[in-house]
Amino acid sequence: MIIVKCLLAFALAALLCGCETVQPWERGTLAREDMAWEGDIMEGAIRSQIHASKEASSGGSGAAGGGCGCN
Amino acid sequence: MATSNTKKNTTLLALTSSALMLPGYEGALADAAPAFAEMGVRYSKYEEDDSKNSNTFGASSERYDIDVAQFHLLAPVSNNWSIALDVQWEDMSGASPWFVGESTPGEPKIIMSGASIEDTRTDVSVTTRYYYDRGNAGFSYARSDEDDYKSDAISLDGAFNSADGMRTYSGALSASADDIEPTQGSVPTNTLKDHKDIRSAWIGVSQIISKRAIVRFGLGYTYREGFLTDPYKFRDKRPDERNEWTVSAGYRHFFVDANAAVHADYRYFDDDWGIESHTVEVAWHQDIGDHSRVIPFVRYYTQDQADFFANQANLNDTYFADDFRLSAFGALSGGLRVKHEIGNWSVNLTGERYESSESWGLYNGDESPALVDYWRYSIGLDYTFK
Amino acid sequence: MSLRARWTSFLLWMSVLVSAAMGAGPVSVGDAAPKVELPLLSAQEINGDSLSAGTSFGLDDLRGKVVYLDFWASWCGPCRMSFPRLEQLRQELGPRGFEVLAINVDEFEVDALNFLSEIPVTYPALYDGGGTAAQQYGILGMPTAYLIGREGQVRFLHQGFRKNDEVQLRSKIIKLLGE
Repeated sequence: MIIVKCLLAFALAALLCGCETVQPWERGTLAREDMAWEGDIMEGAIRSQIHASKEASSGGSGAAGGGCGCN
Repeated sequence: MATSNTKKNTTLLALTSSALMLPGYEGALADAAPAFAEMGVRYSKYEEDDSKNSNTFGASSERYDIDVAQFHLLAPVSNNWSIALDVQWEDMSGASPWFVGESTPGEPKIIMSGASIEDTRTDVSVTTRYYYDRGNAGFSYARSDEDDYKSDAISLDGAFNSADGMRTYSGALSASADDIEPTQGSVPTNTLKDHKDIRSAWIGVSQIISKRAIVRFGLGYTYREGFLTDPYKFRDKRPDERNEWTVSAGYRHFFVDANAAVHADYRYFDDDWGIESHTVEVAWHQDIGDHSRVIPFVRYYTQDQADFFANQANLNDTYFADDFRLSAFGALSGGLRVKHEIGNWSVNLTGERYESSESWGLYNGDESPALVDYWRYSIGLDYTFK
Repeated sequence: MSLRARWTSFLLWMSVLVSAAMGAGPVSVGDAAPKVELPLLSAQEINGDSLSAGTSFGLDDLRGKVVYLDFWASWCGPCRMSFPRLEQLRQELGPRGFEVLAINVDEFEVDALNFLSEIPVTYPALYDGGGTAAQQYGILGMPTAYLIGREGQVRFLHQGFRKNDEVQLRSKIIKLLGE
């Protein structure tokens, strides 16, 4: 699917970017709570659960899924 | 009963078990256990709009109302270990569509069984995590219990940083065993007692782009096997296997002048039931002063219908489902979160609205009259043991 | 040679010269502690002198003392825990010739100042916003600390800070004080 190919190409480009190393002491901004991947755990949990139970898709946000109470 | 409309949180496990954070957050050379223990509670209310008169046989019907209470506790145990406990209680009440019929050809309508549902569910998960100089590894066990459904799940995950700390590799595996024993009563069920197994794997890479931005990519796979049919929906019959794939991307960028961060996430989903979907989420995290934050967020979702979805059953079909969840539709949701800190406490409030329609989707299909719209409100309190 | 090749070779030579001048490689145990001279984050009473914020201060001002050179950042969790414990050590062993010299590497100085107002200490804290000292010492994360003997040599390297680290630090400092 086109979108997947674009995504994978973009991923490769970003990862091979040879990004100028950000020194450990320059990572203050990245350490901010609002720069985290998962953010508020409980908020993320309830939203994921609602979406997974009202839509056909699930997962994709990190780690593997567990039991599903719906069919 | 409840299982036709609710899924045990597949990602509750995901979010508590994986610490997919970049290195250096704790400042130290080593990936370290959190410096302080933290605890939080949330109360949420989920209310579906009543089904419309035009979509329902008989009068418009109320749909689901769910009250949710969540508890979260994360504590360091020695310098290299942490333990987390997550509990969720759900109280579900309301009604769920039994099947879809057509009074006039081309005009499908929901038929409610007339039964009123009242069910509670409890989910508990425990995660233990080990931290070492270049990463961390976690193990989780989760249990979900309700009248007609029980699930046991375990998960293993790990993260590993590159030598310069610019990149983090992560992976996770999980497995669950679910037992279904549909409540007997108002509607005949598609099984009396059955079982299903789920296996799931995920790998991801996270990269620091600059002092202000990070990007992440992930690949996921899930295999489901066993009784996958909805036990409460009339004539519902689904394959006993399902293979799913996801490809996802995420981006975080902080704007120093605005004192705000933008979050963007995309997920592509594909399975062997003919369903394909795209999800895009964007949120703006705006600091207000030193103690508050305002976060408006939007989400767009679109999915294709399952191969065997139809509003009307054809007696020759091997598989059939008129469940709106397997129909083609697009959904738009948006909301606002507000957070305020007072000393070691933090209080937050969220409101969100979700609406769906076949015409909003990128895929064509028969619109299910049972598509949902809902409101969700949450209030929460957190405490950090500094 | 093409223009690009000339440019690349020029840059390579320059970087060799610069790193030779700076001293190659991260500082480790046994090395002479590289000179540090940076502005004070806040007013400091030291050696009987009253120094105002912004005054240049460094290792040279602490010659003959046992120094705990601590690189820290306001966003570093373990740093919050370490400060009060280091303050205690300084109060106890200061009179015998021990000093803590904290080097802040925050990108924004205001964050360092906010941290110090929340967790005040009596030992000197310097601002290394440009990261030159951090780069020179080759630190890999925060907190990273170098315990320097009276003779100016790095005797111990301490990375991270865990509960009760101050106990083993205390015995090491006392040993160095006795030399």
